[in-house]
Amino acid sequence: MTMSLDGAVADPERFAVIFDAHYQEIRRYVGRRLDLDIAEDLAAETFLVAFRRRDSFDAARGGIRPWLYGIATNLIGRHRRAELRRYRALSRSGPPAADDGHDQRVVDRVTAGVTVQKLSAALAGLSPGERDVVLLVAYGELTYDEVAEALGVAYGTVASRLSRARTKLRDALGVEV
Amino acid sequence: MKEFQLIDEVMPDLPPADQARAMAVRARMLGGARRRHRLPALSRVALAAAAVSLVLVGGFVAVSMLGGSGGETAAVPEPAAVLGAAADRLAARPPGTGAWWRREMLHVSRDRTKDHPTFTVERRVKEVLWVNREGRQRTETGDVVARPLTAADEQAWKDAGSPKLCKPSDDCRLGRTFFTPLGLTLKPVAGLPTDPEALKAEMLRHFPASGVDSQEEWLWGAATWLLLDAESTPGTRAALYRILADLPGTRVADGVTDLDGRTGVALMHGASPARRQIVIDRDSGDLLAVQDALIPAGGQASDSGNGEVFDSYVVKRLGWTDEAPQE
Repeated sequence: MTMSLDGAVADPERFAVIFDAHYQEIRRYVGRRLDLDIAEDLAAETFLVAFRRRDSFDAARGGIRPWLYGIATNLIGRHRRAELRRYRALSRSGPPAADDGHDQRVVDRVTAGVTVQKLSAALAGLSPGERDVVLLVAYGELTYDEVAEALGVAYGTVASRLSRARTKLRDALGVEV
Repeated sequence: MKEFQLIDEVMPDLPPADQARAMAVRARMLGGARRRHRLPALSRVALAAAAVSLVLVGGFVAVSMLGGSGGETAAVPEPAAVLGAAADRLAARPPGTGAWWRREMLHVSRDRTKDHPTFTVERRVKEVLWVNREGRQRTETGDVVARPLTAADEQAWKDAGSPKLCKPSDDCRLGRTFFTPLGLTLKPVAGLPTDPEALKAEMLRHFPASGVDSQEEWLWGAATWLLLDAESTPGTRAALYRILADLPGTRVADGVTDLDGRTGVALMHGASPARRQIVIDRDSGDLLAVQDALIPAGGQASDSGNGEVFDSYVVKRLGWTDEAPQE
């Protein structure tokens, strides 16, 4: 699958394949970090940027997902204050009315003592670099190698940021994350 | 358990993307990023602060049932001639007086989401832009009103258990599309040329050499911005119509209807799946709407059908006024 997508990157006609395969997950990643109105725009912008830079994509340096997540994370970085505002608002508000089957899992976690409010406050306490690493792993399910590719940092940097973030989250939440 | 699964599970999720929007993004990407998409801080503040309520008139009619005139009689003028005459009348109008330029419009979005594929939801929000003679801008954004589009949609919505039309996660807000092409610094816009050739040359001075946009895509984006979001003069606006009409990928069609049921002559651009339409009043040359319509796969640029409008900026008022925004 990766090979066929790699081939599609440079080809404008086939770039649609990349969009179809990854738009939803990129939109979801951005939308969980920023309010939906900004997120819709940034998800679109991610693919506009990717399309413009398709010639510079190098399959030898990594996969398409880290590349797209990297672009999205970079765009999110321009809205740091909006992201923090969102966490602060969430930390003050009641949990959103859950829909689908998600509510049961939310309830389980809440009984373990971790609520949206607490978690939002804890995420607001991370440095931007720590938050990027944690959320790329949590939402994007990227490996450490992929996170390093996405952010353009060394593997060791990813590992040390994760370690610091884990300590901060544990201190804030009272449980291992 | 995967790493940080707790974060994934506890933090709020978002509703799935609606297909029409995704298709529009996809088309824009493949078309070369012709418009920039963003919601500036100002309008977000306005969104939170403004309490402009929106009175809805009932009885929406599906747009596909309207429109489509012309062709029945031999006396019907060519669409290009209709547009030309409308542009002439617009260009002859004085720029207007007053301290503030006001553009009041309704942003209408029609979605059929993956969660609820059986009915279409229409969301409407009033957006007012004020610009004064010094170029200072103010925006007012109303509350979004959402409802099933037609009686059939309403029935399907009830059959689905009358789910909430706005999710808490999106609060029913609509993203605002801005058409400002990057690097466009055509200020002051009130001083722009009224001659099409001169205006096109002035605009193209700002065409970014590094962009992937074709000149035509870029001119469409820039012109849309100048028509919808800038205090351009009637003469400049008429010239913009003529510039777009002369582009090879543009089609002019008569009998195109906006979501208010107003029929006009339209500049159309773009191939399947989405086509941009600029709808213009035949008599006055006033801008009626900028709308995006879905065209069926395989639809040709020469199709006479309007397509199904899924996103529209319906212009209610536009021009200089003695009124002023509330401070």
